[in-house]
This record gives sequence, structure tokens and C-alpha cells, in this order.
Amino acid sequence: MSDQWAAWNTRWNGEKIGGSDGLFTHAYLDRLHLSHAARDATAVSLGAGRGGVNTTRGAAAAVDGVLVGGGGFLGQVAASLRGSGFTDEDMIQRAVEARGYVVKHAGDVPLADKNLAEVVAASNYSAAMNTPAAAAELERAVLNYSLGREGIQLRGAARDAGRTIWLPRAGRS
Amino acid sequence: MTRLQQVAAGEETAGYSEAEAARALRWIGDEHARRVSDTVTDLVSDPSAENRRRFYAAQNAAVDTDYWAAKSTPLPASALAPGG
Repeated sequence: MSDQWAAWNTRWNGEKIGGSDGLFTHAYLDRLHLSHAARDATAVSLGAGRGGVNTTRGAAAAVDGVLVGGGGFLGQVAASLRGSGFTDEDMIQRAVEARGYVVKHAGDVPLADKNLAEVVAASNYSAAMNTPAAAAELERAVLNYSLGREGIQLRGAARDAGRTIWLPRAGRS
Repeated sequence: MTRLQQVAAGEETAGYSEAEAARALRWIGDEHARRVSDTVTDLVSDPSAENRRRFYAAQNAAVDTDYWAAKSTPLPASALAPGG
């Protein structure tokens, strides 16, 4: 049991309002799970050499961790990043906005390959915004697109990140 | 490419097998992804105009192939949005 969970296990979270195994307890466990998903994805971006907590690459990876690894939705991302150690509020918001744009507009790109549609949406956003968060989101979308192909040979940070988490998660070895 | 797809689907015969046609199609898709991945790595490490041009060239080639393979018309969803 983590220190964070111990801190949450207060009297107002007791039996009278949901019980120790009740609704509120499960709601907080969900939040803990999403924060851990963000933290784990951030750690992978650190392994790639240019990411980590409070970096734009780390934030893009953490957003992906919450949405894909944690099964959360976009409204839960910002709080999960804060829970995983991100303190730069502006960086959190920029990362959420970048992913929000891609999520919203990738469906409008009429391509059969939906991963490639995300790349197109991310590159449109990057060209329009020209921010580090947009560039990090473009990198993430391209990594996802590459990993969606069989036998692709990645290089550099994308390859390291793919080997450590995205490949096992996609069921490849 | 259309012929490759037809051979891979078993709708036509050619001097190569269905498996070979499927492998060639897969290679084309992999090669697009590799080029997009390589060029975006270069673009992020050095966001010069040349690297930007190379990335968009790789992305547009992948998009063109996707349209071609799906036999669809490359119309953007919004006339104001840049084409893929």
C-alpha cells in the first residue's frame, strides 16, 4: 500500500460513505492506477534519454500512458500527470491540448490506417502551433504508427522507448 | 499496386505467389513507416526547413499510398484543413 493511498484512507473515506471496500475506495484506487500508468510511461520516456518528469516528451508519454495503458479518458489526464509528479502546470495543459487535438481530429482524416491519420493530425497541429508539446505529440504519434507495422526497424529514442514498453503492450516481443 | 492487392487477395494470378504479393505490400507499408519515423527523428533533433520538407514528403507519400490502397479519393474533411 503506497503512502499516497494511506494518506487518502481517512475517516471521511470510511464505512459511512462507501465503506473501506466501497464506492469511494474504488474511485481513489482508479485515480491511483491512472497516476501509476502516467508515472510508468514517463519512466520509459526517461529511459529513451530525453524524457522524464517535467519534460515535454515525458508529458506526451504520460498522456499516452493514462489513455492507452491506464484506460483513462482525456478529462482524467491532467490530474493523473499531477499525481505522477508533474508540477509544471503549463506543460501539463499543453500536453493535454496537443493530445486532445489529435484525438478530436484524427477521425476527420479519411485514411484507412488510423495510426497514420493520427500522424497527419499531429503534424497539422505541430505546423500550426510550433510548440515543444506539439513536437512531442508528433513524435509519439509517429512512434505509434511505426509500431503498428510489422517488422519495422526503429532507431534512436523511438526504438528504445518501443522496446521497453510499447512493444510488450502491443503483444509483440 | 492494385494488381499486387488482387494477387494477394487471390483474385488474380501472376508470376509471383499470393504470399509474395502480400509480403511486397507489407514491405511497402513498412518502408513508409520507416521513412516517416526517420524523418521525424531528424526533424525533432534539427527543425530546419529541409528536415521539415523531408518529413512532409515522407508523410505525404505514406498518405498517397494509403489512399491508393483503399481506392479512395483524397479529399480533406474540411476545405480549410491542409490536405494529408
